[in-house]
Amino acid sequence: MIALQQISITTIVYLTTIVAVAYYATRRREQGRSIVANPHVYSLTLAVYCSSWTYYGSVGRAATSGLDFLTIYLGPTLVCFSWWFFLRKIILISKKENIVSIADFISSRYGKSNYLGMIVTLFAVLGIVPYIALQLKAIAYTFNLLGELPEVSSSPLHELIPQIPHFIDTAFIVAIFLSLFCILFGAMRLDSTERHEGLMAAIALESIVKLIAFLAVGIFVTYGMFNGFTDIFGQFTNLYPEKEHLLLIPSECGSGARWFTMTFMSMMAIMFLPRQFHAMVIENSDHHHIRTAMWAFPAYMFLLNLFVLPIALGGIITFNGDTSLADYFVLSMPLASGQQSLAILVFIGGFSAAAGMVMLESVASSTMILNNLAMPIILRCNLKKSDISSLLLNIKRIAIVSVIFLGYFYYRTLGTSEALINIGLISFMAATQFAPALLGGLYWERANHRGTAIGLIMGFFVWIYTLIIPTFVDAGWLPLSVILEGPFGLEWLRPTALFYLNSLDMWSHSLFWTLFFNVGSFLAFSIATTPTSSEVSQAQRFVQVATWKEPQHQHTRISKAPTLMEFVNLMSKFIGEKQANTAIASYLGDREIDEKGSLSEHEIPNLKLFTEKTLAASVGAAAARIIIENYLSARGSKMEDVFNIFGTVSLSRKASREQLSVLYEAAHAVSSGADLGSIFESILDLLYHQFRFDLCAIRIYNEETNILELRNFRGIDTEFLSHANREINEETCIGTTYVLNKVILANDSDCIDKPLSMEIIRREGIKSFAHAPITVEGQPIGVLSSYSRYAKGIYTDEFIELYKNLAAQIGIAWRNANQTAQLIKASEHEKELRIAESIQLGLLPDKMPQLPGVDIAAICVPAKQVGGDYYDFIVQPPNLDIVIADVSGHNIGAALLMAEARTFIQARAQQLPSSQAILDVLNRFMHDDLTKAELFITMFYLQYNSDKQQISYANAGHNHPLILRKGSKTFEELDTEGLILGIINDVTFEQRHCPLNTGDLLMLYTDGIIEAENNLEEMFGMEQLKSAILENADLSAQEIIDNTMSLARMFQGRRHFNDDVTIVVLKIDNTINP
Amino acid sequence: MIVSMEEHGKIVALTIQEERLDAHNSNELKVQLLNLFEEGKVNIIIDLSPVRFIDSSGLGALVSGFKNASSRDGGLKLCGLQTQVKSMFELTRLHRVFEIFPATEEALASF
Amino acid sequence: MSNESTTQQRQIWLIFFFLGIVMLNFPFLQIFNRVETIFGIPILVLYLLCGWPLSIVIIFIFTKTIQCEDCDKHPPED
Repeated sequence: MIALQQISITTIVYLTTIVAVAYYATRRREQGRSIVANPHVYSLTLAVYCSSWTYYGSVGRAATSGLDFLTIYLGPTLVCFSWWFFLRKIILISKKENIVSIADFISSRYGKSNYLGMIVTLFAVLGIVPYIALQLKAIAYTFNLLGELPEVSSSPLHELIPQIPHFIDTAFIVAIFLSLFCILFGAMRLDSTERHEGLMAAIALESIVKLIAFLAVGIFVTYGMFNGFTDIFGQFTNLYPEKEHLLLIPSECGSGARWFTMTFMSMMAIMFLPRQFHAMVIENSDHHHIRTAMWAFPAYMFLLNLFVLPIALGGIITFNGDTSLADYFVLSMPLASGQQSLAILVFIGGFSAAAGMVMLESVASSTMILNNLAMPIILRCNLKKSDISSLLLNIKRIAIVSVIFLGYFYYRTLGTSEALINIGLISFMAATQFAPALLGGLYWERANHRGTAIGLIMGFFVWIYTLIIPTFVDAGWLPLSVILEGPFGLEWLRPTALFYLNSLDMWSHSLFWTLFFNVGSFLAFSIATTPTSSEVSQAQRFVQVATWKEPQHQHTRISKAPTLMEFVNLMSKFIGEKQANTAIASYLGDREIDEKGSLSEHEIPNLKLFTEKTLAASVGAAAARIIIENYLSARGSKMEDVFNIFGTVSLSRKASREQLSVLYEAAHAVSSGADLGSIFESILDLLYHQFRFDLCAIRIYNEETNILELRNFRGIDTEFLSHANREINEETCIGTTYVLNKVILANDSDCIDKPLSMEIIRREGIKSFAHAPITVEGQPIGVLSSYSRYAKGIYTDEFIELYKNLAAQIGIAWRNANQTAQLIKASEHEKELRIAESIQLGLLPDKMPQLPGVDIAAICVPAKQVGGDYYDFIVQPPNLDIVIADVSGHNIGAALLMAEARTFIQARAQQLPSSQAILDVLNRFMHDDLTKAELFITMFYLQYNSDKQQISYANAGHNHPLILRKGSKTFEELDTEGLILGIINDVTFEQRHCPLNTGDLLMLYTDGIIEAENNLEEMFGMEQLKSAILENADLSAQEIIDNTMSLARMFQGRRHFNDDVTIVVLKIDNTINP
Repeated sequence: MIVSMEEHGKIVALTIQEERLDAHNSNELKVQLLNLFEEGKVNIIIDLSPVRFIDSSGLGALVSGFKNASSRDGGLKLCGLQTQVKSMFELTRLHRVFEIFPATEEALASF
Repeated sequence: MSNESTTQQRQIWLIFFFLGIVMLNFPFLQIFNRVETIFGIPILVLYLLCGWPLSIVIIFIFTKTIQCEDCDKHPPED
């Protein structure tokens, strides 16, 4: 007897080592120096295939039923032949599509079908729960065997702490340990690649340990207890000649079939058991590793099986022919020979085999449960939370624990019965059911989701019927009569002899019937039903993975497309912010970003695909598709075709060359850049000539009249024209087409039900016609019609496709034209403003006049959009004339008028005697032009005579200039009678004079400064202007302007003014000498 | 821009229901007035009582209306000017051009 | 990897694959399904324990002959 403490401590030390290795591998991966991304480690992880069922069960099978245990390993060896082509293809596809589980693979292949993923997940979990039970039993049983404890319902803890509840047995503790470990390395975070290097490192280590342990016990038995192979075989044949069938394959009826069946099942199991698929495909870091695994994995299996027969036969000899405990010969032989350390090593090996399988299987299952079962429900609940990644992670953890504990409860309910014996093979048969869906999906484009779903369901139903029902009968849950006489006495329904097929063994029988129904429905329904369009594209991606390339140009665009950041936010919600950012960074790494920092329109569909794939890596393909589609449809975004010159139209491949050429020419016309009218004409021409219609017409909806107006036509006679417009209602076929936004056609015009249309059609003698809505962004804007007076039945489905495409191209042309018009309008407006601005700025003096005793400064800040200010100086010593003006308009016209005024003033000022005269003449001169342009000018004209130190001035409705006398705190405002220029011809302008002495300050301005507004709609106003001048009165003219401007800017809280701001400051200062 | 309209026989009384009559909405007023003229409605009263602020563009629209009405033998009269608006008219001396009344009733009576 | 050599490889593979299935199945196994021993080891056991490693060796040789452009970038891992 080995002390419990010794076993427990060894186990715990071993577990700690595994955790340490797994942790180390995780760290190494984070550092970018993965130890798992290695072909030999990859091969070792595949050896998770050899579970405790292999470890203990092979010997058991060899000791009881003979050589057929070898088929479980010969099958996979044979499959390895195909890996370089077959497995590599699966891996390539999975990498390309970010596949995360076998359920995901199948659902993704068949149009990302969600329910298919559910079916696969349910069956996969159903199929492996008993298998997990078997592993738990193996660990618990061997532990108890080592410690010589009663078999079940007992645990080391009961020895130590007797008051522990009864249900806590060894298997329970093992289950808890394994759950924790799986969560630790399988569900620490949601990985966007679903690769768990820590877990895989642990599994590789376990594979090494179980091989070493088994080889050790094999060598011990063969060469320690016996004298090599020949000795064992010799003793066995001498002692038990009646058991020589163990060394043969009984050739009587059915055995050949059974041998083949088991080989075949194991061939399928190695590929399609969820854990194998996970280890082989999902955790694969480089598909070149297959090359090593192809021989290394079979070699591993060979070594592991080399001593199975010696141990089995040796066990029979040692235990005197008793095979009741043959399943545990591996452990009981060293125990029987008192080799305690070896026994512990064997136990650890068996523990490794079982634990590895449970861990990987539960992680693989939890991924499927999360993505294919939980995710659709979560999506339906439409959670508003911004980040549900932690919720997803917890669901995954719960799924892991649930799967392991389902196994545990299965073990507790069925564990003591003989029902566990065949569980490995039952699971194999379940995995075999995935074969048609996967193989067919990989090599047969026509295979579709209906065929697959029905095939899978049929297969699993028959699987349950032919394998699980007999198990229940064995367990005593069902009466034996079900097997012997059939349910309800229906003999042809006997589970092990379905339809009277009783010449086969249980396995061959089940394999035949499951595959018969599975493959049969798969083929039949795939052929009978048509695949959906998304399925067709997925099928091509999968079947032609090597040759399939992303199309060079995306021919789709997304209307109301989300921005880059919105996509990132969407991803963050499901995979967490950090991962989303990393993903998007890698995506953007090699892509062009336009100057606005956003992606160009043709990148958006790529980004959508990328987002979908990234999400698929976390939540599975089907759920990712639903997420993206819901998101886009919630925004009102739509994928829509873009018609480029190559006409990417979804016509069937059968479309005739003639039809394709029509589309090509139509697309050519649309992209020609011609005006809308000629594009419409060209498309109608095409229809009219190519298909010999009698009448073709385009009607466009007119919003103002609420009528579909005839826009362009071909072949319609003038009489028809007079009543060609249609109202928007369902009275006529055309109106209905528009209202319902769908094609309406009549292959025989006698069969239409609209009296109004009937009347027109009778009158025109039309035999058949078709109307297709012309749409922009999915909304109808008009109707494309074609009529024939001679032929009935010309509108085939195929033609209607073409016809719809033509209508869509007209819509595109319409949209393009409208966009162009808007652009031109915008750019013209912009251009005009630029011209106006440059004219305006050109009018302003480029330097200040230099006069002795006068300090002059001026500024004119044109507003961004509007403006018509102007100031000017005319120097004719001793006179200095100052003009300040504002034109009411803000366009080129206003600028030109201002130029006109300036030219006039510059030319005439010197001849005219006074300000008053200048304004009067200018008003008469400009009146007609201003009236025509519906503009007016306010102007203040001021003359300063430096000799007399006097100003004379006249005003045409302009803001009153201010004078601040030396030493004064109050302002004088200058105003005279007059009227703005351009209202009436005959205006009497008054002129006034006043002195302007040394130290006086004069400011002229336009309304822009006093009407500067802040956010509260308060204006800068006269008072603030005055106090600004007062504060700065001692400074130079330029400084006064600068400080006033910055005060005004501070007041309004922004730099740009809404209107032009012009200020002219004049300071009389005798100290100034230019 | 919001403009309410009442017809009193041959006379149309418009009320500008905006606080501001500036570059942003004066063009609309201009177009609206032109439409009225085309319908033959040339006697117009514009009530500016809700208008708190008018700039040169606003004045421009009124002037254009005024000129068009005059050339069609009609008239465009104003009423209800707030202080600030009134000062704008005084500044430009346009109060000499337009007939300005305290309220619509007086304006109506003047036709 | 040129298409031609891929196709040829694929064909060789298929042949070996089916050969393996045939040789490790009935009725072929029946040849060795006799109560006889060679060097003290039952003939069927000997056949399987030799045939199995033999097929592994064949796979091993094949993986070494995979000539492809890929392999220039990925030197043989072993």
